[in-house]
Order: sequence, then structure tokens, then C-alpha cells
Amino acid sequence: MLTWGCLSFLAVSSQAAGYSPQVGQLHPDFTLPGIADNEPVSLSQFRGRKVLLIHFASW
Amino acid sequence: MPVWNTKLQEWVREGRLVILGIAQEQHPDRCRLFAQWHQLNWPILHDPINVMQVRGVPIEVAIDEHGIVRSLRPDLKTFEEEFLDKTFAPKGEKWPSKSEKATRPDMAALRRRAEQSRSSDAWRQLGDTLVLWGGTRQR
Repeated sequence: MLTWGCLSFLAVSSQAAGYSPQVGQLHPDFTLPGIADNEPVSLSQFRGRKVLLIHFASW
Repeated sequence: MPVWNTKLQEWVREGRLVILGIAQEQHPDRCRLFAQWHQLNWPILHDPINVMQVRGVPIEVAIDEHGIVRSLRPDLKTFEEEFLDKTFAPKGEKWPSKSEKATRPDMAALRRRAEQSRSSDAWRQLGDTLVLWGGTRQR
């Protein structure tokens, strides 16, 4: 029972923390390295511009 | 994504749109090859350990000039009319008042915070940052 409770808690915690942008809400800012030069890029540095964010993978 | 690409490139060239790709790929070289193969010549960021906690890809998110999400998985047919050509009103001001160049995370500050707080979240953030940015190693 205790194990099940812990697993449920972990499942809820990870779900709550997942990426879930909401239409009409501010997108969370982030800083990640660019693959070309490893230089930092933040979403907020494009303030004033329209941005299309594309999450993808090559696999 | 390749279907989108020609039209997207045009809007980027016209200065109407910024595209940021975020690749969940462990090896940047493989990601570079993929980008070359599909002729993706917009900036691609690297998230090898999924710090953004994205559950499934691909996801496209249209974000207006104020940082507000305007659509998820937008339709190419209506993207120009319903997003690019529109002027959106600001809603709250949480981002910096002007755009600033991004900087690398302060590794020493993150380490101090982790050591002082002893919280698992702070240690996890330090660990993620070390993996992403390579610690104090210069590249």
C-alpha cells in the first residue's frame, strides 16, 4: 500500500511538472545551448518578435 | 516538418517570424546531420536530458511578441492569417522589459544554493545544468 501510494505520488508529481504550455498564458522562459556553437539562447531574448517553437527529435 | 519548412523559411526571410527548434537528442552531431538532411537552417537548441519535460514530440507552439502562447500545433493553412498578420495585446509583464542576450547559468551560484538548501530540486537543477553546459569546461 505504501509503495502504491509513493508510486501514485510520483506519477502525479511528474505529470504536474511536465511541459504543458497553455493558450493565452505566458510561455515559461528557458535557456538552452545551441547545437551549432553551444551558445546560450533564451526564449525571452526574442521579445517583440513572433516565435514558432518546434520541439522535435531525430528518432 | 519538411512540409512546413519552405513556407516557414519564407516568413523568416521576411523578418516576420523567429523559429526555434528544440531537439531532444543526446548527440548534437546526430542532430546537426538531421538538420542538414532536412535543410533546417533555423537555430536549433539542444535538450539532451529533456529539462523542459516535454512528453511527446513533435509539438509546435506559436508564441506572440509578448511571450503569450497563441496556438499549439498551429495549422499551416491559417497560420499567416490567424497568427502572423495579427497584432496581439500584451497580458501581464513577466518577461524582461527589453530583450537581452542570454547568458550561461551561474554554476557557482547554483552549487552554493544546492549546498545551502540541501533540497533535491536544487541538486537536480545543478546536475541538469552541469550536463547541459558541461560545468566549468570551456567549449
